[in-house]
Amino acid sequence: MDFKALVENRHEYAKAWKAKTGGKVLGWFEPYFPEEVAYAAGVLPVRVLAKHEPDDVSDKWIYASCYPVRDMVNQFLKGRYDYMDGLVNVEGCQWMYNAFEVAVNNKRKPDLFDHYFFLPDHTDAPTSKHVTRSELNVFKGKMEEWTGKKITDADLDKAIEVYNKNRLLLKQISELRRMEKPVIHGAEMMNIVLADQVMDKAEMNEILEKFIPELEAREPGKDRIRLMLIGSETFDTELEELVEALGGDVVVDELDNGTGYYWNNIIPQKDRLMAIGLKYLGRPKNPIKDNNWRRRPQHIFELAEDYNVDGALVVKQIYCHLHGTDNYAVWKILRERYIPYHFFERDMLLPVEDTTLRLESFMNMLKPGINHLAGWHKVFGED
Amino acid sequence: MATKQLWETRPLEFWNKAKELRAGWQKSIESVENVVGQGNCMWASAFPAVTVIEDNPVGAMMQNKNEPYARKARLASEIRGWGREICGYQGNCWGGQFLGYIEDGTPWPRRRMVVPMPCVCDQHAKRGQQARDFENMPQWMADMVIYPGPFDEERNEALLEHKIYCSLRPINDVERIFGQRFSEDRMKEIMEGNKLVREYAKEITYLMAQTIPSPLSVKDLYSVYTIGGLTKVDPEATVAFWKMVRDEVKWRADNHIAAVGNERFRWIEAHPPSWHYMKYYRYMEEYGAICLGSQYAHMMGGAPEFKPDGSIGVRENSQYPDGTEMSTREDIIRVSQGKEARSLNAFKIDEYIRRDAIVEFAKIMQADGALLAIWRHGVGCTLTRKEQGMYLKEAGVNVMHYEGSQPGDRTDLDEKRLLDQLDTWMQGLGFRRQVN
Amino acid sequence: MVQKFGKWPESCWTSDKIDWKAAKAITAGVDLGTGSAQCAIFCDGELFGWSNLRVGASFKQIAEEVIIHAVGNSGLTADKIGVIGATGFARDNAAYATKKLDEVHCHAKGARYMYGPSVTTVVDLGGQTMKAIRLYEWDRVRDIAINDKCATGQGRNIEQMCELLQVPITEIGEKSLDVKGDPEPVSTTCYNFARTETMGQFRPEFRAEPLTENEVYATHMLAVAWRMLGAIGKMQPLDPGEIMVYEDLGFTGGLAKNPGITKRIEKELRVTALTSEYDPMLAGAIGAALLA
Repeated sequence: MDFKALVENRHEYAKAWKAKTGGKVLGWFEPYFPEEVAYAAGVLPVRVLAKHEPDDVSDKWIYASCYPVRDMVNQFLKGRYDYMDGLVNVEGCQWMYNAFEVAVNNKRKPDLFDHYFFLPDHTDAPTSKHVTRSELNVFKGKMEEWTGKKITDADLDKAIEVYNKNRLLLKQISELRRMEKPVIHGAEMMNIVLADQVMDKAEMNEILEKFIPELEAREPGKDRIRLMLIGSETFDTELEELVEALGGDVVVDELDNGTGYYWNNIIPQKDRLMAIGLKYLGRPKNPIKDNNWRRRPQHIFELAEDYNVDGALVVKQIYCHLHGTDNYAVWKILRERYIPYHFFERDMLLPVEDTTLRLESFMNMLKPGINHLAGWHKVFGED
Repeated sequence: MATKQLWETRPLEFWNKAKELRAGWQKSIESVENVVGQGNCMWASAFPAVTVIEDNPVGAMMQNKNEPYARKARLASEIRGWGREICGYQGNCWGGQFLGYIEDGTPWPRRRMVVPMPCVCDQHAKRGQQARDFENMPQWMADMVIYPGPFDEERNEALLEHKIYCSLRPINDVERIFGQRFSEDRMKEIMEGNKLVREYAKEITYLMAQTIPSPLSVKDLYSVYTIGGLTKVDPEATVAFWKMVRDEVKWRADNHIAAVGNERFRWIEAHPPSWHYMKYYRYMEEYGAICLGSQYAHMMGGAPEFKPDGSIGVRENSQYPDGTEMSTREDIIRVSQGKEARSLNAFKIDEYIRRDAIVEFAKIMQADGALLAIWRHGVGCTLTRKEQGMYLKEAGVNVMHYEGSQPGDRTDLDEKRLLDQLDTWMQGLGFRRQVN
Repeated sequence: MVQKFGKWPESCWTSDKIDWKAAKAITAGVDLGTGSAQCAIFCDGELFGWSNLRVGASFKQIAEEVIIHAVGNSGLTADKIGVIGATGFARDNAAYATKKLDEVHCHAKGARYMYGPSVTTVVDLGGQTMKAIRLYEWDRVRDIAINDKCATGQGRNIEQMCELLQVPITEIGEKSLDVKGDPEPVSTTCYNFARTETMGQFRPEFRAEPLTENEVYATHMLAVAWRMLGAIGKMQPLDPGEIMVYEDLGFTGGLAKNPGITKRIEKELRVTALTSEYDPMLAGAIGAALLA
């Protein structure tokens, strides 16, 4: 299955889905969006993804901001997302909120449904779950009003089942990356997760169920330097592909729209909304939600251990204030646990020469005894 | 258009008192070694031995007074993981913690607890964490509750309870950890004092808005407006000071004493100015242009708005009525938070409730123009700026944008270029500079 | 001829004492950068020749020329050199290369050759990238930090400023040090901002004295140095609690010859950089030759 093509054809997919089902498409921005509720209403939740495109119209509306957000605004203003019937944003990154707000305010689609979901940044308070449940209830009401469909417990159960199954399948694939010679590399994995965020989960589940046996039958890959990717969300696989071209592999990531998207599941309980709320409050923290007790650094360390990484790439989008303030704790734990890392800022477009220089040097630095780096060991090593 | 003197001007009499209070505050934060907090926490002043330090003014002052030190502090932050495009307030202030010394070389005063200001801006929400990560001190997080659109009773209930919890928790914890007693009576006095200050501040806003020539420029207001708020001094002294300011501004308004003697052009801003380069206010005054401030500058008295009858009032802020019973600690905190969980300060009104609120503000201030800074390194103080500019232009207000890093970081502010832009703007509107 | 203010003079040298025909092993390294290209040739471990040229329109052409200049009139030709390592931005243009090597390791190796085995911090100030390299006491790279986007921390920035200000690159550094104290730097996050800000500083300030010419240079040099300090500081210590010391510091690359930058970095790091008899621009090529 060509998952990259699924990501690239996401607009056509959503349009075809609408034509086939007559349903509504709801665009979402923030990784903490509880898709299950929208899905239970018969709506197709589609993640708004940024892409490489010259940004020529957003400047009138926004200034600064990370490139993905600028690009999202650019795409909205150019009508790329006109097929979306509604937009929802969750309390999170302010730049992302701005993209949401501009998409609504520019009135390109006057009848666009919009909703803002407040999921506490302070996720640890005993009251946080009540807030989340209350917000879920409000959102459920909005969905019912918008679609004219009453969301029953059975609808919620079905949605939870489909989403839980989906996350389990993704995790199943992720587990294969723990092999010494993984049968799936970082770029392909990231494309799967990105495709997952723009497709009907029931359909995606069928695809994944067929794909996993194919994957398990693959010949093991060659020895590669095992890297972990930490940092701002990315919406393409350019970096992973470059790593692979240079003999490495991103065997695990700690991105909001990577492992963070499928890491934990909903534990069913009678109060369905509370069950959904607890899943989102308890998912691997992104920086804005990790502002009380530090949970993210430890999670990063555990991923690094579990996936046996040689080193980490800490990559921040320029103007990403969340990772720009969180990296102190991330660098600190990586240093304390002796995990080599290389930090750099990225933009939407990854400069190939510059990034190759970094990656190549960093990976050469990681290789003990360095066999494939011409001559280095002869001079610097044991000879 | 010539810009000659039109009205009488006089120096401000409250100036010296403001300097004295500010100097006292500066001294207090440099010398306090014991119990120091950080963040937007009115409750903290109701503990006898807690001194509150807000990192915004600390960071801004660092850039204003000692550029090499502020730059070093930001570098210290950058090399430890903070982005180089992170807000200067934080970079300066917490970079100082990394350096381990303050501007004069004396050791960095150790903070004993940290209360990060919740998400008025994402970077604010994140900033206090480093203090705890670095020195292992108690930290309490809260939420700045927000959602767009009108008040929603259904949403409000859980959100308000969450907010109350987030305020009560640190009070109880400080008692437990530090063995200090929170004084409910003191808290009530502080709330009463705050209410008075708000009234005075609101009146000052009206006087600036309604009087031509304006009795006060925002440059003058900025010299005092943090007193009692971001720079916490004795609550009684705060009330007395704000009364003094209000009285003087009223007297000046009644007697047509102008802040700018040749006032011909009234302009507004959005959010904070470049604290390290306030000269541009004086530069504009040479064109007869007076700055009336921003919604940010006037938030102390509550955001002004036109009432349905056309008068100017304060935006509904859901305060509890006077005399609401406050018999328990929870009652007191509840009253202090108001009935609406959402934060109704200027930032949030702009971003979440009504982005075009700035147009109304411009009209209230009788503004001819707006100079809107766009800060590359400040998410909270940049977010809506371009959109606001569009709405203002549509409403017939002249708009000029200029770029910089952040109000507490001069890195990207090209001062000459800013002045060039102001010349182009003013001269394009037919004004000529009158250099004394 | 139009004066090129922003370029370092070209140079080359070939040994008249070493007989390459008698050498058992001849190795060469070429460093094809964005602004300049270098070649270093070794005969049995002895430096036989080197060249340092400006890069013109064609990388392919310069790749040929650096070798030709390094061999001089000795009669040695590229096809007789057994091993040639190529590094730098344009290394793929060295069709004759037998090995392609990353710049970081080449500069590290070159610095150890030039400054001796004690060097543990290498700062390469190149035309397009700035690399800070931390070495173990033994021959391994321990950490690297490379400048992020924005040309302020790049050699190209200085070249362009020299052209704009009409001051030779060989002089701007010294001149910038001839000030009473450093004024505030220009922008360190945007080269365009830095450039316009620098140009604006020749004009009188509103209610303040204008800067002198040397102070204007200083504002720009300080900005470049500051951007570089951001990368140098990011190198992590081996032990989390270790305080980084930079005593054994070696500069490589073109900017290393600009005291306006190096002295300011040394001042902040409180060290004096190591010195070498070699042109610091040769480090990459020397390293490539030794590692090839």
